[in-house]
Parts: sequence; C-alpha cells; structure tokens
Amino acid sequence: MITPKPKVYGRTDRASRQHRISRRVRAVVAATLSVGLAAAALAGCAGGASSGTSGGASSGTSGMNGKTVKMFTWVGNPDEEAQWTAYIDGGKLEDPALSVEFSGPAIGSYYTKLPTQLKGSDAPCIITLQNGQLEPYASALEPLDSYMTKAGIKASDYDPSMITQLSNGGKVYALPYDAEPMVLFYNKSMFAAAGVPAPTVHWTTNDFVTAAKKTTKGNVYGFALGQGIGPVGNFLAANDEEYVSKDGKADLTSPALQKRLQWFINLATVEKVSRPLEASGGQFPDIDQFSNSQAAMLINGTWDMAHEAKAIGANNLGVAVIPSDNGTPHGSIAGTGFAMTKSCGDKAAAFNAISAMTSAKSQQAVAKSRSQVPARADSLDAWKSSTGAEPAAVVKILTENGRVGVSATNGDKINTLFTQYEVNGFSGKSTAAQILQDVRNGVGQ
Amino acid sequence: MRRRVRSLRTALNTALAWAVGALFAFPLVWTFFTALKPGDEVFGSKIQFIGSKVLWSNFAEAWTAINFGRLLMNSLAIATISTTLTLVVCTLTAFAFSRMRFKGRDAVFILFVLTLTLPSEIAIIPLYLGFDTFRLTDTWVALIVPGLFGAFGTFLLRQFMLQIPIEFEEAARIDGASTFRILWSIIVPLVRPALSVLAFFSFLASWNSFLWPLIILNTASRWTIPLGLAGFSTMTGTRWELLMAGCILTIIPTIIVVALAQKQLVKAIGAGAFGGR
Amino acid sequence: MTSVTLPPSAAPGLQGPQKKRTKTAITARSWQGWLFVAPGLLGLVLFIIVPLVGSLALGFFKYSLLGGGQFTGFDNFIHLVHDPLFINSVVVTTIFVVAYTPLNIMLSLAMALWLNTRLVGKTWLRVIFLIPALSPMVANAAVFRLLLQKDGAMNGALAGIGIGPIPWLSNGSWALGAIILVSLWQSFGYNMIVLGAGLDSVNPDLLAAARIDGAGAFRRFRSVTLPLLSPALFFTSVLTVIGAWQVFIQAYIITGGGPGQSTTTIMMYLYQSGFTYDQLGYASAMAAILFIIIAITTLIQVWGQKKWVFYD
Repeated sequence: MITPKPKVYGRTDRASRQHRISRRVRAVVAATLSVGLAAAALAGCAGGASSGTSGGASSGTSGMNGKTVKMFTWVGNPDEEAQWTAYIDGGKLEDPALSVEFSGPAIGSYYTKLPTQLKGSDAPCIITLQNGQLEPYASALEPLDSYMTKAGIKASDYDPSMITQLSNGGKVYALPYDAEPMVLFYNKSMFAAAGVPAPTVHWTTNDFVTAAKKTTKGNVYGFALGQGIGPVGNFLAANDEEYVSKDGKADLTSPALQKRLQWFINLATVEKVSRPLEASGGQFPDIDQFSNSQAAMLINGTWDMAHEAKAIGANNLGVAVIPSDNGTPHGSIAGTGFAMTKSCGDKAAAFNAISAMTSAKSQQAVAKSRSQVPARADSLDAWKSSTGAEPAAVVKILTENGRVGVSATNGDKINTLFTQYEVNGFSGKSTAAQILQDVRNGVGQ
Repeated sequence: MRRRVRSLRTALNTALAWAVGALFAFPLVWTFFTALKPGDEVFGSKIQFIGSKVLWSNFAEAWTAINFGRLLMNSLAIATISTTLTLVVCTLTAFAFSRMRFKGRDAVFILFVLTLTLPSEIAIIPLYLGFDTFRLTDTWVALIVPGLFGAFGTFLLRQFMLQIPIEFEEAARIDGASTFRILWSIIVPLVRPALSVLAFFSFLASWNSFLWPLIILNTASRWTIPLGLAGFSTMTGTRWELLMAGCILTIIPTIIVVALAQKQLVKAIGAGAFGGR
Repeated sequence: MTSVTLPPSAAPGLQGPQKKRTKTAITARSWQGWLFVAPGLLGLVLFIIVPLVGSLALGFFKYSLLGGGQFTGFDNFIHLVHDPLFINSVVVTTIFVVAYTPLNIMLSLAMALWLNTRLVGKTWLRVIFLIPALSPMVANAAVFRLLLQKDGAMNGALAGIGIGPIPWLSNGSWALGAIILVSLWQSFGYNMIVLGAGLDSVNPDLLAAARIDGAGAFRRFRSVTLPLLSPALFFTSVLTVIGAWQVFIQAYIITGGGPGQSTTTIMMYLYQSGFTYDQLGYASAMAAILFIIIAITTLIQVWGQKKWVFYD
C-alpha cells in the first residue's frame, strides 16, 4: 500500500489539520495561555524583584536588608501579620529609627522549616521562639547576656518563668514579649443559662465537673478537649504535678500522668461532658468548638483572648483559673520571645530591634491594643486596664504561683505518638495505662 | 415498540448513572453549602444544607483572608511556565530517543525508564540543601525547575513519535531540511494530541503540588494555592467555613477548563496512555 | 485524531526493551543526538538522580538539620528492621495497596463500561467524576476531614438510610477504610477516563462479529474487550500501584496517622521521622527501602505482562 506523501512543510498542510481541533478548545487554551503568560510576566517581575532583594542580601550583611533587620516567624494570615506589625510599631515608640521586616510560613510548618532557615545562606537575624522550644536551636543562636548588660537591660525586668524558659545553660537567648498563663475560658451566657455561678479563683475540680455537666445540652458540651499531651499536662500543672524532670526526661510511667489521663478521657466517656477525641491531622478541635459556641469551657493561653472575644463576644467571655483538686491554683506560663541568630551580620542592630520590641513602651502599647499579657511586670497595669477585673485577678494569681514547664527532650515524638494513641482511649479500646505503654513502646523506652 | 423499549432502557440507565453521579458529587455539593454557612454551624449532626444564614460573603472573606487573588496569579503563572518548559524539554528529548541514533542512546533511555518508578518525595531533602547552597531557596526557579524533568513526558512523546512513519522525514531530508526543521515542522504538529495531554497533566501536577512548594517557599506572597489553603489553620483554630469556600474557589478554574476541553482530552489521553492503538 | 495513516508495523506499546522495531534511520551524526537529549538528560541527572542517590546515601548517616551528620553505616537499616513503628507502617501500606488497587481498577472499569452505554449527559458525568482528580489533594482531604467526624455529614447521610454512626476516625480499621475511600474518590476519575478511551478504540466490528457468532455480553467482554483493553489496564495498574505505595497526604491531613498507628503509612512515618523528629538519616533509609519495594512490585508487574497483556 502506498501512503501518499503529504507536503511536509509549509502552512497549507498544517492548516488542513487544524480545523480538526475544535475552535473552542483552541480558544480556551489560548485564553489560558495568554492570561497565564501575562500573569507570569507580572508575577515574574514581582517574584524576580523580591527574590532580588532577598537573594541580594548575599552582597549585603547576612540577615539584614540594608538597614532593615530581617525576622523569620510564623505568618500564616493577616491576623498574625497584624501581631508582628504591632510589635514593630511598639518598638518604634522606643526607637523611631527601628526598621524590621518579617516573613515566614504558617505556624504549622514554622518549626519544620526553622532548621533549614538557620543553616541556610540567607538566615534571618531574628527568629521567634515559643517557650520550651529553645533547646534544639540554641546552638544556632547568640547569647544575649553581654548585649543586655551593655544596654542596661536586666533579666529581672521580665517575667522570671519566661526568662528561664528562654535560657539554656545559664545564658539568655531570647527576650520574651509575652508571658501568658494557661487559663480557662468560659462562655458567660451558657453559664448563666444553666444557673452556674461564675468560677472563683479557688474553684476545684469538682466545681469544674459540676459546671461542665450543667452546661452540657444537646450538641453543646461543657468542656472542649484538646489534642496531644499538652492539654493533659495542663491539669497536671494546675495541681502542681509534673511528669518531665528538670533535665528534660519524660516519665511516662508517672502515676500522676496516668491518673490525669484517665480522668481526662472519662470526661468524654463517663461524665459525658466533652466530645470524644477522634484521629485528626493536627488541628485544634477544642479552639474550634469553643469559638463556635459548641462548648462552654476551653483551656488555652491568654494569647487567645482577643480571638475568643471576637468569636463569642467580649462581654460573653469569662476567664478563670484552671481548676485544681484542692482549690489552690498553680499557673503554667507560656509565651514567645525574640532571639538573635549567630549568623546575623549586624548583631548590634538586631539586639536593638529585640530590646525595642520588648521595651516597656512597646509592651504597654501592644498590651492595650491586642490584650496579650506582656512579659514585663511594669507593663501589666496597661494590660489590666484594657481587659477588665476578672482576667486581671486570674492572671495575677496564676503568675504569682507560676511555674516553668520543662519540655521533654524527645517531646515531639512523645506528643505525636500520644496524639495518635489517645484516640483509642476515647473509643474504649485502651485504658490510660495502655496508651502510655503504647507511647513508651513507640519511643523505645 | 423496540424503539420505545430502547428509550425506556436509556432513560433508566441515565437516571441510575446520574444517581451514582449525585452520590459521588455529594462531598463537593456539601462543601459548597458548608462554605455558605456561618462558622458556628459547620459542625453538627443534622445534614442541613442551608444554614440559618446564607453567607455569600464567606467567599469574599476567604478570598481576602488568604489573599486568594495573589495565590491564583502565582499558581497560574507557575503552572504555565512549568508546562511550557516541560513541553520544550520533553519534545527535544523524546525526539532524540525516537528519531536519532547516537552512541549510548539505549542505555540513557533505560535510565529514563528506571526513574519512572521512583517516588519523588524522597529526594526532597538533598534537593533543598542543594538549592540552599546556591542561595536559591524561596524562589520560583527552585520551585519550577526540578519538576521539568520527569521521565513521563518524554516517555509519552516518544511513544507518539515512534508511530510517525519514517517516510515523512525521509522526504524532508531529501528536500534538505535540517534536523531541527524536521522536528519543528513535521513531528511536532503530528504529535499535537500527545502535547496537549502532556500540557494538561503538567499543568495539573503543578497546580496541585503541595509538598515541594511547602518546603521551598517561605514568603506568603510567593505561595501557591494549596499552600494558601493551609493558611486557614492557625494557632487560633481553623475557620472551616472559609476553608471550604477556599476549596471551592480552587476547584472552579479546573472545572471550567475540563468542561470545555473534555472531549479532546479524553481522545488524547486514550491515544497516548498506553500506546499503539 | 491525526491525519496520519499508520503502517501496520508501527509502534510498540508501553512494553520494555523486548520489541525493538523502532525505525530510526534519521541522524547519522552522534553529536546531534546528544545535543537534543542534553537538556533533558542534564535535568534528569541534576534534579532527579543526584538527589535520589543523595537521599539513599543519607540513609547511611545520622543527620539532623540542626546538628549536621555523622556516618553510621548500616545502623539505620538495622534499626528499621527492628522498629515496630516501621514494620507497622509497612503492614498498613501493604494493606492499603492490596485493597485499594483492585478496587480502583474495578470501579474505573465498571464506570468506564457504564459510560460507554447509551446515556444522556455522558460528558457532564465524566466531568463530575474527574473533578476530585483535578483538585489538590489537600482540599479533598480537608473536605473529608469534616465529613468523616462521628457527627459529621457522612454519618448524617448514612443515618438517613438507617446505617448507624460509623466511627470513621476513632476506630483503627474504619480509619484505614476511610483513607481508602478518600483515595478512591480522588483518583478513580482519571483511570476511568483512560480505560474509557481504551474502550473507545476497541473495534466495534470485532464485537459485532462476536455477537453474530452467538457470544453473550459477558463472553464478549471477557474474550474480546478485556484482551484488547489489557494494555490500558496494565498502564493504569502499574501507575496506581506506584502511587498507592506513596500514600501520604490523606493520612497527614485526615487522621494524622491515628488512631494508634492504624493509618501511619510508610510515607507518613518517613515524614514524621524526617521533619518532626529531625532524624533525616533514618528517614532516608526508609526512603531507600520504599524505593526497593516499589521497584520490586513494578518489576513483577512488568514481567507479568507477558502473561496477560495482549498487544497486536
């Protein structure tokens, strides 16, 4: 069979084939391509320009952008952006020439990306670290003690538990901007509707369970359970119990831990005041429940206060201590600090930025605008004036009886395994003892 | 009579198929309606499609909350650049494998084939460290370039090119055409279906990719859409109704393109996927 | 779709080196070939092969993103073999692959066949089935994360037909089932299209001839359609299996690996080890083992094709 030889090049041949491809498709493809290429041109310029500035730091000082100090932190959405802007603006009250820029991933990937950022060639000058997260990164950070002495800044200006949590080997690595105790938020209208009196600063675990029972109706639960070992740890801390030793060793056989864990599980399975926990990919179901008015009580740090006030109404948000068995509250303090990297090219500027953002002027301004509990004792009054009597009393007593929570050395693995195995407790498959045993097996203890 | 039975059967068949389709689409439909609910009605056991309020504003809020406009432009630009470059690279390489003879050709081809089976996620760490050495992290260059060289596109195009009779090129050779001319004027037009398949899948792969962008990009202004969706989960909880709205916004462009180009796509996939027919 | 008439001797299918009837008489000069292949080859080596080798090499080190690395020889591999979490992840992933692949292929084939019959609105149905395949897995997983709560919409819908609330996310077996379900929902659309296209190219004359010979619908399917479809089936099953071994995002977003370890797949444990516990050497060793597993199963399938895949 002879296949006719078409004219192999020249427009006529191509044209004869083109009619087979639907015009519609071509139009769509052409439109998409042109929009895409236009976007590419525009975005490519923007992308190129901004990569120019950050990549161009190679010719400038490491971690700096000209005179601007670069900070790596968690920036997942406009709300977090607003927070950092507030601290920078607060810092400008102390030092009008202050210039800081920040960037970073959502909080969920911040610590994952932090090591590569620190090792990278364009490491920032400042990073943010939450309490208890310092230890793995200390080797990449610059101790601040000498800078503090030179600037006349005393560690005692700041909340002592926070300073301890942001220190390693006796040296201070970060200055804290907040010192938020874990508190219990409650929904005032739900309490009122159930006839439950407002909690006092000496309320007990029994009071708490009673309140939870009364406020559980229909779809709404009395207390929102959080995932992971932290929420159980809150109840331990409130009773002045501990399962992590001072040198970071977690004792998963601790009877206190087991007892509290079983009690925690029973809240859902026996007392039926909480929604049982299910397997989940690392979200915060407890925060979601409370802010959507599906739970009457939530335990979280005071940093969440502004958000909860917005969610359920500022007049509706009550703040209480975390209940203890004997009515003597103990606070567990958490917060974040600014740290300086060893690779920073202009450490003086970086320290200046850190001290400005954590200065009294800055803290007071932010305390008023964002109701985060400041880390400086001299700024607490500013906070109190903006939040009210009840939270102030709670924060006062918790801070007075505050304690440093030590993080376990393999805390991440423990927490991940714990989060996975605790679900079995809620489905009735495992007891608290078995859950802890499973975690120990997984960790290799 | 036979015709009536036939149309009855067709009607039943259609109804049943659409029932299955509806069942299948239930999660998507539900997502759409959840996107319109107020935040505190997202959880709840009754399947209520419509909440107490219908908040079309959620879409607007989702758009601004994660700066969806920027994400859309980014994803579109990245996917377009990726696709174009992939087509170029794969065409050149496939042409070499299918139409050219050079020493070691078969060995190199086997190398390509071997990489087809490799899971790409495991190479992420060395890839990141490599880009970091050249100070290229958090750039689109680092985002796009590694994805251009998967062996699949080359493989697909080679399959198609092998089907083209040698006679065309021999004729062109006789007429004095250069190798590149042959490629450009003969081969490329003839493998257009394969090119459109490859373009479609490259675009899709880039549009949906998550892990590599997550690792290589930091600055929010450079993010792609999947990264932006993750931005709805913060330390203060997740705004599920906005996340659902964001998912709908993400799906819409792909639906439009597929709906329009569907028939051609189906034909093209079939022709290329398993070769030979 | 092209205007080219294919000589009968044209192209082999997706098989490997066995049938080399390619006609490549064009270029005499070797350097031209190398020139054309250079960009692709360079990219392949730089961005795929070198990182992969690097990743496998990392398996012989203890490497932390913060603290650098030290050579540990086979320690990681030995530890892996004794690590109950890793062994569990292999079991979980194997169950997933074995359950998911046949289900996927059967569903895709069934729907492809169905959409090949007389129906109104085939085009739109195809679009519907394709949508999940075209959207980011992250979005799909987030949707199911909400749907599968014990008091979520999925159980709500099931309650409507009298099925009690299913503990999708609190029972290990159901959780793995949920992962399989979501994976099926996401990806069977693509396979359905491929198989559908394969069906389209089955010569209707052959089927007509078989019908004349008295073969019933099932016999026609088994003896005519299925063999002619076998290249497409081979292609989809190879790709499906490779993808199944790497299942990750669904577990990451929906269940976080729980309850217990019932949905901790190999990639999930790899990600946790590498990025949460900062044990990159260990994670790389896992990657090496996963690579070997995938290579073996792919090879088995490729050798097996001689037995059941029919190329004319």
